[in-house]
Amino acid sequence: MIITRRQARRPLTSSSSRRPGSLVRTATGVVGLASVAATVWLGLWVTPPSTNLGQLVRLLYIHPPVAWVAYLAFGVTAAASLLYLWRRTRSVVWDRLAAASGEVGVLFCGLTLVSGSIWGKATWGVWWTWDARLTSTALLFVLYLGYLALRRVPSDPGTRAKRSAVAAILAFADVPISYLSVYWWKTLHQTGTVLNPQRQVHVHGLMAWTLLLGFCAFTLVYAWLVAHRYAVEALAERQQGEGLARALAERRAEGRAA
Amino acid sequence: MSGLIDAGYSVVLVSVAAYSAAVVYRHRSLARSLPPPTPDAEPEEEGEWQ
Repeated sequence: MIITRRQARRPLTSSSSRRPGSLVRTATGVVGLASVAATVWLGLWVTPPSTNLGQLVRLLYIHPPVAWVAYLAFGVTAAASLLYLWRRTRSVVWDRLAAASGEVGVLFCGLTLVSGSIWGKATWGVWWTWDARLTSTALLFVLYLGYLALRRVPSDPGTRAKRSAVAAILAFADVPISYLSVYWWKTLHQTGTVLNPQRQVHVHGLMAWTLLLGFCAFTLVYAWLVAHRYAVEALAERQQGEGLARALAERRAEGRAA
Repeated sequence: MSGLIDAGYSVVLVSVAAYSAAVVYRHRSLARSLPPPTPDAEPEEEGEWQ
């Protein structure tokens, strides 16, 4: 196969930009960014203040969507880990997806804690309290930080993937505990505004639509980030493999010269 | 009160933007540092760690 000089100079991003997957990724990013901008505009300037929470209700349009993305990301990490551990579906694809989603999940879980803390200061007067929802979310953050740390422990890729998958599944047990903690224990944290066992939606009209848009916007941003992070994981593996092959070739050349 | 609302939005938006920029930069720099694949080569998607 002949590769022209122009093709050889072209970076991978431009050669892959014509693939349908890359177009979908770009479209997801653009729509996600526009949706986040629309959520901020509606949330800060268009929606009315609430009768109970006043202006504070504006935090509703970012805090629950960010928390939802953290749960979603850890769910995807656990599902991908399960698929990796199951022999019939074992593939490096699942290991990469778990790593990518786990990292994005830690970012969103951290943002859930920070935005929740700001909301707590405004409503309860304290930045932090050892409430069941807050504590279980903080534990979730620490558990998945541990998962990311475990992925960095040097070992062969197969062992690393298996032990990380087990850790991700075990850590996921805290997600339902965190979600249901407001129903199991008496907590300062309010129950679900939209997603609750009673299926009672506590917001209506434009406020409800803005909240829904926030959920969709941050989910799209999550999908876009995972797609990029997955590509980074795959390219880093390729770079590592090529580095190893180059080192072996140099070593063989040294042996021949000696 | 409005300061706290602005702080909440700022923290979320700045953090997501910074992380996105870091991931996209890493993706592009890795893609540039590696030789281009042959035109008929498919990206490695399947396989199992040995």
